[in-house]
Amino acid sequence: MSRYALLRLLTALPTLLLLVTLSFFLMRLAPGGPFDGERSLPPEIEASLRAEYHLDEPLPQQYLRYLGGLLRGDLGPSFQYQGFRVRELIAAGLPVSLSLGLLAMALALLLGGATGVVASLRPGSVLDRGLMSLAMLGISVPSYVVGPLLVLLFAVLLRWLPAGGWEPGRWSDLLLPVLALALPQIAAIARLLRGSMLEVLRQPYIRTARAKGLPESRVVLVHALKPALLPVLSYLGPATAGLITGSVVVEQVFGLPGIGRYFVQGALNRDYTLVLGVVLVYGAMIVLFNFLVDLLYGLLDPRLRRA
Amino acid sequence: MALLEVEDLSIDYPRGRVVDGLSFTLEAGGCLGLVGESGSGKSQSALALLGLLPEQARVQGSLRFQGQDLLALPEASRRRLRGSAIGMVFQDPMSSLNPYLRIGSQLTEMLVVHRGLGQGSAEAEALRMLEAVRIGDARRRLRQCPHEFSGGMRQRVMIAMMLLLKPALLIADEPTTALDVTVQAEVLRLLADLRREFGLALLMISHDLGVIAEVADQVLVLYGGRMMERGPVPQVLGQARHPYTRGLIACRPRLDSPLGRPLSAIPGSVVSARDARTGCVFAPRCELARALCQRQRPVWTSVDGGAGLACHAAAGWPENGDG
Amino acid sequence: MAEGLWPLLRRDRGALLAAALLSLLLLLILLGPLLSPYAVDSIDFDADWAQPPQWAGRHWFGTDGLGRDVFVRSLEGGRVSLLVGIAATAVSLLIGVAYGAIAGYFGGRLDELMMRAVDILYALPFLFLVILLMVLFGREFWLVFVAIGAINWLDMARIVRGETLALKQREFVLAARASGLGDFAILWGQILPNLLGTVAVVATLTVPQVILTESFLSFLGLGVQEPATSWGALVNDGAREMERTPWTLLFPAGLLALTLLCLNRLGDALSDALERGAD
Ligand SMILES: Nc1ncnc2c1ncn2[C@@H]1O[C@H](COP(=O)(O)OP(=O)(O)OP(=O)(O)O)[C@@H](O)[C@H]1O
Ligand code: SF4
Ligand SMILES: [Mg+2]
Repeated sequence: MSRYALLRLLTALPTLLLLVTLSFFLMRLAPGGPFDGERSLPPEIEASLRAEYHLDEPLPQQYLRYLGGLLRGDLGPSFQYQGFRVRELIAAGLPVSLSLGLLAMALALLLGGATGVVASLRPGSVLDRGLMSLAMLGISVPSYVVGPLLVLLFAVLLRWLPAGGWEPGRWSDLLLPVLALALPQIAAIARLLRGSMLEVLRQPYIRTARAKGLPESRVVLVHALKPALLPVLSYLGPATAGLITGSVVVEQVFGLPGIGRYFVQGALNRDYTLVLGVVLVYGAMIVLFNFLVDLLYGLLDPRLRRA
Repeated sequence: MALLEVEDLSIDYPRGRVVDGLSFTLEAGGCLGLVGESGSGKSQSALALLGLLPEQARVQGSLRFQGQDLLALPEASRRRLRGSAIGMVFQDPMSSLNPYLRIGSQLTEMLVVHRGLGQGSAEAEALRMLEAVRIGDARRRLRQCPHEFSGGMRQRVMIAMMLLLKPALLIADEPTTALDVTVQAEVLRLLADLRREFGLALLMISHDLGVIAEVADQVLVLYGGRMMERGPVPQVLGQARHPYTRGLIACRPRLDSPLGRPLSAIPGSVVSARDARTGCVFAPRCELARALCQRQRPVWTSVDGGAGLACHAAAGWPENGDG
Repeated sequence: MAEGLWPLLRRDRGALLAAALLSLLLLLILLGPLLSPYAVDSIDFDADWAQPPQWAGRHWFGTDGLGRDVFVRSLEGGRVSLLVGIAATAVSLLIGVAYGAIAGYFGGRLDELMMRAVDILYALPFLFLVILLMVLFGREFWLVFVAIGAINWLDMARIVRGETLALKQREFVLAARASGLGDFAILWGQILPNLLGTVAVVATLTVPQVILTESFLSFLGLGVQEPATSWGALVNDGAREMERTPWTLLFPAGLLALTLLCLNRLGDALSDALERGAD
């Protein structure tokens, strides 16, 4: 299995390379550059800056230089935050973004999972229809609408929680952002799991479990839930992508110092290396999550174990 | 007191009735064969005994098991009977075991849940039972998942699982239909042996008269959800009186050609109880049918030797007015 | 197939309600601005800035911080969002149907190659590239829906390919081929018409996704630009001012959510019906 896992990880590398390459050339093809800000620099200074950052080299050479840096674990210097390496900037923002994303993912799995299971037990009941209507609403209201509404309710009207901002260690700052980020995913997972639970509960082996006189809780949680989780597992890849894009706006709405803000700002300022660094981190997270999903799949589905 | 007494069992769905007036008794250690074509209500009757019918099904009549009225029991007590006092083996061993759980845990959970055994002693019992159903290398097998077993082995695992708690009654719903012929014989022999060994009563469901003749001492012939004929196997299968039973016997594949013609060689297509509420359900396909059969439901008549049947012809056309 | 959907759909009261609400919303978006005396960017100097909703001054949804009528702006934003939604869906439909039908119809190596490409594209976090695209190449209006359409065609391509694979085995296609019709004539005359039901369902489910993407971009300030507006842009503006003028957030956000809800509900029902119809 470990060799299989390694192989999977290796086949993900081309995807990452493609992503970096596309982003690299896309940015360079765009008009503008990192040094044409409001006040235009004297030509000599700009030329020396360009030379310092190797922007005067031909594009393929810059591209190879960048890849070479990647191999050494160097993401290059930031153009916008002069004097900082991209690695430092990302290292500062990543803990915030990761806490936000992982907490939202955990919440989505727990709450979405519980909702999906509960709804599936009595299909068509008032409870089921109520929960599924809420879930339908959940997938229809994006994070950037939920976020401001949560702030409006809990910070502006009720004054229970801060409207935004971040102090290291103050976890209550993360409460609303995590909720805003997780809600659409909670809804999506609830819908998905309900569907697959209904499918599994129809299977003959569930009838066997009941014929064995097992308590209904065991039938549902041991015999039905495991197979029903497989589709949810394969959804985790897209869910990661959704959480990442969601976090870009949620970080903005709540003023969190994650790496999301670097992405849009960096692109606007033509901070090539910073944007590439963020894209790389995001891409790597998606790849990593897909990889974990694969591993879990192998654990859950015995028929795949030998393959 | 018989082990199981079923009286006037009927099962209704919103769309209609699928079992209509089923009655029989099963003594401890006895074996009753339930035969009938596909759709005649065999599985529905079995599921009713276990209390596993879907929610929209309405069950009427009386089901007495070891003297208790099953239909009056609260769900929790019925659940405790399932698996421990009444076991059930299903037709398709491929899909009836959970493909995602190890065989070992599917076996031991019975003992853990019903008897409160610890994992260790439960495993020891499971091992013994696997050996009793003649599965070799049982210790390694416990760690495997169903896809690593052949069909016949899965059915034996299924039987082992349902016998772990030494139930008084085992319901086997076409346990051999999905298996190869040679494996069929093996499983049937195993069931017969285990029956003797554990003093088990068996409710054997099949549409194969050969199977019934081999293992059962009583037989009940079901068609369209209604009882056609019932009685001791030698009498009912040897001197069948009901036209439907005779049809079944006549088109039964010969024993030496196991791939013979299918059972539905009786002309016409199978009905369910909901199609014909008045008259005899078999009338559309019966060669002897007369006008009376369309109009009036034949009453149950006992005959000498302990058998009984529902047929106007066999009762000598008890006409009231016309025929 | 499409005719077969209606009887199945008719029994679903929720879906009917969604359809009715959607029609009402459409009507409101198209005709609503006529009811109001105010224009999208006109400033009502008689009214106070940041006026809460009120009946008397005919600012039914209030005014924003600049004194512009929120009712008219919300509907205008909706018009833009829906327009983008439909246009981008059309783009994704065009690409997806052509791609999927060709892959499915010709099959073999070509199919394998084309679907492999789709798999690779699926693995890319596409929205990043769109964001980059929008940031880097100015914020042209047409670019919004071309870019969004270009990332949403993958599902369409996959589903259409599957349907085409099944369709090309059917007698009428075999008969058409036997009668000497060319490949593209068959694709156009026999395959495409039979894909309509499926395509309609997928398109219904694509529209809300596209609206979501557009409003996401607009929320980041990358989509539709002033003086034009869309629901995403309005939500962004409203979120910034929500402590002072919460209605500038609530109304566009509510309309956006309601529209997406109706579209999703309808799409769900349609795909259910299609699935059941297939059995
Ligand atoms: N959930 C249900 N709702 C309504 N009718 C049902 C339901 N389940 C089964 N039936 C009907 O009950 C009748 C009897 O079904 P049953 O499964 O008992 O037949 P069977 O004798 O076991 O046949 P087979 O040999 O095919 O297993 C059939 O006509 C079937 O359509
Ligand atoms: S009652 Fe009539 S139709 Fe029914 S089995 Fe007897 S003869 Fe045939
Ligand atoms: Mg059956």
